[in-house]
Amino acid sequence: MDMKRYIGKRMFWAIISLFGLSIFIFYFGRIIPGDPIRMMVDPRTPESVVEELRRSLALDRPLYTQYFIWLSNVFRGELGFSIHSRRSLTLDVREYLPRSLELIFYAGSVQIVGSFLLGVAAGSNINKWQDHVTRIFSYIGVSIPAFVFAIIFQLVFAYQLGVFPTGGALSEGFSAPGGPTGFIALDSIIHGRFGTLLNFIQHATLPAIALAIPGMAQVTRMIRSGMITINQKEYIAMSRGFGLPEKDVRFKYLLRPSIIPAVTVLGMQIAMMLGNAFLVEIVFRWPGFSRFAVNAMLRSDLNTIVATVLIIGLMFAVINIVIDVLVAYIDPRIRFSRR
Amino acid sequence: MAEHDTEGEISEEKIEKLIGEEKEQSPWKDSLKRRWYRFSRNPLSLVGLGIAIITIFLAIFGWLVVPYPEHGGYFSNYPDAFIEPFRDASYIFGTDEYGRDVLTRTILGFRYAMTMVVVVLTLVVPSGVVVGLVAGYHKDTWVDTLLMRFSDIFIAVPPLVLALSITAMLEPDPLYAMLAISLMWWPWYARIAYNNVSSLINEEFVRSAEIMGDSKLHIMFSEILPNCTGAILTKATLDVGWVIIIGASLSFLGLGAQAPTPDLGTMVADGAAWLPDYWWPSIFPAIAISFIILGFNLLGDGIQDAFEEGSQ
Repeated sequence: MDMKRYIGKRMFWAIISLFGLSIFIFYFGRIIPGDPIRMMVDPRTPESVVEELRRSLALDRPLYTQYFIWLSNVFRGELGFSIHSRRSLTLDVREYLPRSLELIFYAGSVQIVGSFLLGVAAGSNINKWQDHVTRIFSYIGVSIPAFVFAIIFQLVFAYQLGVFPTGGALSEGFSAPGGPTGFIALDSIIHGRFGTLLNFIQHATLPAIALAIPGMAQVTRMIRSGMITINQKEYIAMSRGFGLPEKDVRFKYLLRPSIIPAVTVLGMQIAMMLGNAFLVEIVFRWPGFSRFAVNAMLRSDLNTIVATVLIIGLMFAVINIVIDVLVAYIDPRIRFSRR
Repeated sequence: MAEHDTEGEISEEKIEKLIGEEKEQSPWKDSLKRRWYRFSRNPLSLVGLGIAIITIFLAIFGWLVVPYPEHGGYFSNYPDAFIEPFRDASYIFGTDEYGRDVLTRTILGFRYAMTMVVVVLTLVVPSGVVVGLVAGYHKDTWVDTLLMRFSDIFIAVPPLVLALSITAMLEPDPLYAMLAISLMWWPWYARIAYNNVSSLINEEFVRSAEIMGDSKLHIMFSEILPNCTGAILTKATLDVGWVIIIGASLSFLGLGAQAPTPDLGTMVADGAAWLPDYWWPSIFPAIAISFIILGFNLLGDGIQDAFEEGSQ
């Protein structure tokens, strides 16, 4: 099937890009001045111990050898040692990454629901008040960076109004349920601890909305303009003239083709959240991977930097491929075309 | 084009008159007029243009109009620290923890934001466009594969993540931040140029230039490039906002301009430490960031309108 070949090709190039990226980041991190060993150990450590450590970590070997040693470790699931947390990065990833994924999942859901509601409301009521409100929202959403939203939400809803907690993932007195999946939300459901779940959702709401809004603004505009374009097509006028119920025309024939370009942008925006999460997690002291990574980066923790770029690159590629498949599924023109 | 006379034939005089009129009005000037009309039809585009002009003016002459130019650097006046905004006529936006005027520092911050935009765009637009032109002109050859796959490497992660990683490995410095942003930004211009070029290479004017024996360089830069200007210009205008967001984000995380530089992102980050009691040192610079981005977004939309319809 052509679709399978297309996806295979996409995956092949995504993997090549990730390899290129890993080589670039790995080399870049090692050609800049600075001794990784000296940053790891106590300044008073004798030179012989340092040399021993250097040899045991293969840091005295040529760069390409180091790269292949590192790469084979990565394939065995060993991401290296973090200077920042003073333990294996694999443990850090296992602890912090689920927090970030939960937040992005929440934010992504908010984005999808919000942009569809607003986009359809505006697209079905062109030049009425729904359209104007949506347009103002879009301009605000595109113009204000996610971290500014985060600060404003924190100030207004957490500090001033007190309706949401100011930061963190769980209040004092609540502990992570600790369970099979590592995701707090899923584990609380499995263990039946709905109080914990509710508390967690309360904590996640403000950061999730702050993450969702910038992308939501763009997707809303895409859906609106998509609906306007499709509405002018002859087949829509024909179906109306044919006497089909307006509901059918709107949801069956108008909506589906007009959301296709929006789905692509939506996917890109959800993937972009992986970047914005760095700022939002810092503002809300969210114990996620992005916050861990920023703190490690501020200490020039090379292994963490390389691992972060690759993990996020991998998720980015997966999201983009999933979106491609999804678009092909919605859009028969792509599904049946020969690529 | 030519209007028919009621008698059904066109006199020679009339033809000459028509040709003469066409000669007088150069096509470039004519299309510029039409584009300005399309642009100015939407009042929001004019608002955007106004904000962009104010921003550029303040970026260049800001230090001449601010009330306290010395507050841009190391300056402290602790008795005046944390004056609330709109209370004291001499400090309309209030003062920060060192007693520095927030209005002054916010206006001075425009220069750092715009410097970053100018540096990044001058590095990124030409390099990306050249790569995209060359790759697009050699579509489906090894040159295309090599260049475009190489550029894919830098957009395999969200822009902020890569810029953050590179800046983190170097010393925190605004110059490094600008270089890091440029490094991950050029592929977008390569893509735009590539897409435009690959839809143009089979057009007649390119074919005829090839048959005339024009050099590849001439075809790429004098024949194809002028037809991509609209798309590139639109992207560049809309990117002003994105570059400011990324730059402010890096500063916010402590990897851009360092204190006491009046950088908007740094000011938001430093001010956020005093939330919720003293909100103004962070919120006013944040509003300024959004103001600039809004202006250039409106301007970009206007330019897009002007070029999209004008070309049809």
